[in-house]
Amino acid sequence: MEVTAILGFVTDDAFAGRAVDPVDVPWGDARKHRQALRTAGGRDVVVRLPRGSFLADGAVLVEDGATVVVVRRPAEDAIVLPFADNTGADAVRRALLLGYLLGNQHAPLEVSATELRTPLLTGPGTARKLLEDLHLHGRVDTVALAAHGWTNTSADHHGQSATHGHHHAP
Amino acid sequence: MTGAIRIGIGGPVGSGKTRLLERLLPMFATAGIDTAVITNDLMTEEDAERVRRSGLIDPARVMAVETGACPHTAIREDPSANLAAIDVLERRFAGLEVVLIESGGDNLAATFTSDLVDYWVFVIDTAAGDDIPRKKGLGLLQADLLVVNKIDLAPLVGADLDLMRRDVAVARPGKPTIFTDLRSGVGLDEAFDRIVRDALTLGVLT
Ligand SMILES: Nc1nc2c(ncn2[C@@H]2O[C@H](COP(=O)(O)OP(=O)(O)OP(=O)(O)O)[C@@H](O)[C@H]2O)c(=O)[nH]1
Ligand SMILES: [Mg+2]
Repeated sequence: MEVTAILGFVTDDAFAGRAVDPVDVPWGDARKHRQALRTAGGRDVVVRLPRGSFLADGAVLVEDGATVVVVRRPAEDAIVLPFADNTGADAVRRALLLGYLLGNQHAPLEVSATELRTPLLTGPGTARKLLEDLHLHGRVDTVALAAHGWTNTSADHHGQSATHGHHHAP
Repeated sequence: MTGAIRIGIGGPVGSGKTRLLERLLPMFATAGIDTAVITNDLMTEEDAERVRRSGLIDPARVMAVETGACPHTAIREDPSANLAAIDVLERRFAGLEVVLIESGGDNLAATFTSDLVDYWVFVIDTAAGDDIPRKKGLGLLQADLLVVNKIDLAPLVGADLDLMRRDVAVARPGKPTIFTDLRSGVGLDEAFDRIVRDALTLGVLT
């Protein structure tokens, strides 16, 4: 099966009642517009999307009447920093220092209204020590990353984010 | 997709990126695939000059990009110089089907942005140490194809190829790896077939 367009999202009304055949796409492959994938159900899917496409969690790649093939982001090693656990002026200072360090690692960042997620690019011990040294309350965990895109990567600076839940008054 | 298919070749200094290009060029030519090359170097046109002189391809089809500092910047953070080179090649050669883009030698974490390439290969070599696959750089983890080159040197430097095979299988579940000796050509046919299938046709007969 060849995928030349993303058909929609699994939550769209059009796909109600369909069986779902998930296909795991880790964060590192989410921006690859040409790749061969195998679904959990054993279907081979060939992705040939336009450059700049993003394989978001829930994106429908194939529909055959009965079943939809849907992108699923697997849980991967990450640093997670919930903002509610790090409040006050000094936490802002320390979080900025963390952001600077992550930027120097070229780490992509997923910043929602409630937390930061970023892939673990060091060993887990080093990451925990980093959080500890900065007195930040975060954790090393396995979570889905960039389910709907990155807020920032070292290569994109559009600041576009589907998970950005915060709006500024004009 | 409009324009030529763009294939990135990255990996550490001296692993065999230019040699892979030089080996692939005659195979693309034999297959009738219209090809051009872009090489990235820090501050010279060394690799481009080498490919131009090789006689393997029309020298007008080889362009150099000088990256200045960190080579990964030109293939990930800001690929504009490479995109401009692709643009020149596509204008110059109307039927262009494939552009091979060699990154400057970099570290194990170097990855290509999908804004620049459609498919990318990461080349490491056994002489740099059989522990490289366990070091899990992003380049090695995320490349569409990993080439472990210079297997002819493995016995000379005490590199354990079986260990490397096991380690890459763990590091790259579901992603292909090919072991090559690009000096004699071992593994080259497999690498070419894989690249043509996955980058050009993706298993679809065209
Ligand atoms: N023995 C052996 N030597 C090889 C092999 N592949 C490449 N070489 C040699 O390794 C050296 C480096 O190869 P290149 O192709 O220039 O490496 P590169 O990755 O392009 O290097 P940079 O662009 O400088 O990062 C050259 O002398 C090649 O002839 C191989 O499979 N076996
Ligand atoms: Mg080279």
